Amino acid sequence: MKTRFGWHDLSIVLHYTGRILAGLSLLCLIPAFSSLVAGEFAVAVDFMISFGAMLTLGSGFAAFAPNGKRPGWVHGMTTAGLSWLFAMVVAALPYWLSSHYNSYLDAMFDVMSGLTTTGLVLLQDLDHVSIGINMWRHILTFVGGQGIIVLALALFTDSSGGGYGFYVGEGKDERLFPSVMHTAKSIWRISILYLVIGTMMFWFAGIQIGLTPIRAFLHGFWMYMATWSTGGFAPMSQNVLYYHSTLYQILTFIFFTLGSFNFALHAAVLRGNRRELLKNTETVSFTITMSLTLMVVIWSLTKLHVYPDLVAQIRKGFYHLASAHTTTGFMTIYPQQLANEWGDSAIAAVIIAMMIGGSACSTAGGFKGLRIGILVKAVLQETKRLMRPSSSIVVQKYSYHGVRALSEQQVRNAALVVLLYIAIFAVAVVGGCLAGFPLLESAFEAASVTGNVGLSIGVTSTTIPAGLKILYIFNMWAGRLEFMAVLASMGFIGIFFTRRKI
Amino acid sequence: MKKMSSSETKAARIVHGVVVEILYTVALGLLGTCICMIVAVLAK
Repeated sequence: MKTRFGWHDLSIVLHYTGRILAGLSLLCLIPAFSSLVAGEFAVAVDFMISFGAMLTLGSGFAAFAPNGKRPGWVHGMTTAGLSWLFAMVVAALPYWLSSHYNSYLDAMFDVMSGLTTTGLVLLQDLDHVSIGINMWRHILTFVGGQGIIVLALALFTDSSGGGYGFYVGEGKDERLFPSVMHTAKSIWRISILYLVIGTMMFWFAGIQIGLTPIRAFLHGFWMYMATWSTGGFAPMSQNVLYYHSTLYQILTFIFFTLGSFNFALHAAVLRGNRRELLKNTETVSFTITMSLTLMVVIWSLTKLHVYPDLVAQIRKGFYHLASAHTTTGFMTIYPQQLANEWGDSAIAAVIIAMMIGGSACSTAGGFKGLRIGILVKAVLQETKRLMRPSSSIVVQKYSYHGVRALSEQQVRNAALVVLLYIAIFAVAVVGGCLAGFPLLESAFEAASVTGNVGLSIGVTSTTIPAGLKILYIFNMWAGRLEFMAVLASMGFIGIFFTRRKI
Repeated sequence: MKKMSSSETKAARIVHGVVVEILYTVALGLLGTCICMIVAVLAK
């Protein structure tokens, strides 16, 4: 049966995109309120203007009636893809009004960086931004980590069908419960639980290092949101280095590692199934790949005598490797130090760690540990098949919330997504080289944007060409949504405007 | 001994789960620290 998309399909997509944007506009009220409390009245006005603009645009789109038709799979995926792009455009307004950006493109870059939990920053003079802007930055990354569609599903939708397409379109395909709405609410409950615990712990750490109670609370709240979402934003330009605190580093390590775990894993452990932590393919693959890349990093740093002692190597080497592998992007060294001191082999290991990333259905980016585990199991299965008689059937099992048999469909899906990641990574590497950056630095920055990591080796800055910024925005968007929503959006738009049937 | 209600049991399970998860990440940190120590010695 041939498929064609007409105005009624576009109406459905615009309607739900509008509802998501209208819901997102309500988030502007949080920084508006915090600005009012802090006495930043001009900033509060900026956020109310932005709230009005987002609500107007969202309401305008939502006025397109779906004509009683329930959204199908393609509508959900296309809405997921397009709503992220529209959110990037409108959520940049508060940034632009703050005068901390050289262009609207830079503001959109930072919004996409926040929503996709990448963490690269083009904002100027971060150390002197308002409380409202810092609140907005960190809220965007916290909401983006869970997913703006997941937020909408949890708060703004009823139990009518079509929700699964929206949910999967945001790069999640793990259902904690049969109902997608229930799954979305559960994801938020887990995140809020850890938000309370984590903020308290960071608050205590902030007071312990000498911050005033209010400042310690705000920094704790923001740092927690950036940590759990594996976003990597920080309220100060020196990032985690600003705090000069082992306790802060340990807390960020704990919570960005937890943030990189699958929400289904959290749900299982919180229900009492603690063994899943040890048996799960994702945690096992994460432990193995982090250990292997860590060995390369520490070997390289030791040979080059980069740090004076073992404690410094652990606090810099291990910390940055973990920050890369969980796709968080926190740094306690300057980008130039990474480029000039770490050596090619350590940087190559960090690139590999960034590309592998965290767990599926988590706030982390990258290929995902589950796909690496599936592909390794597929290689084992093929090896066994070669060793046995041609007529024998080889069943390969893996542990993922129970023992499962590996299917060809799973292997094909995993390989396809990994291939697409590598393809857009390669395009970004070439883009960086064309902009005049050395190959290794281009590759490092390309891995950082594609895997939504946020570590920088010095490439990302407000002076890079606009074309490279747009390429990096595309990579962040595609990497975060894991391609399905991106391909669906592009296919939908292509079919709609060319009036073709497929 | 007083029997726990279902909500108390659920709360206890959640607290236990949070503690287990945090301890797991601490264990990962210790594993990484051990790897750093061993590799640093071998590389010298």
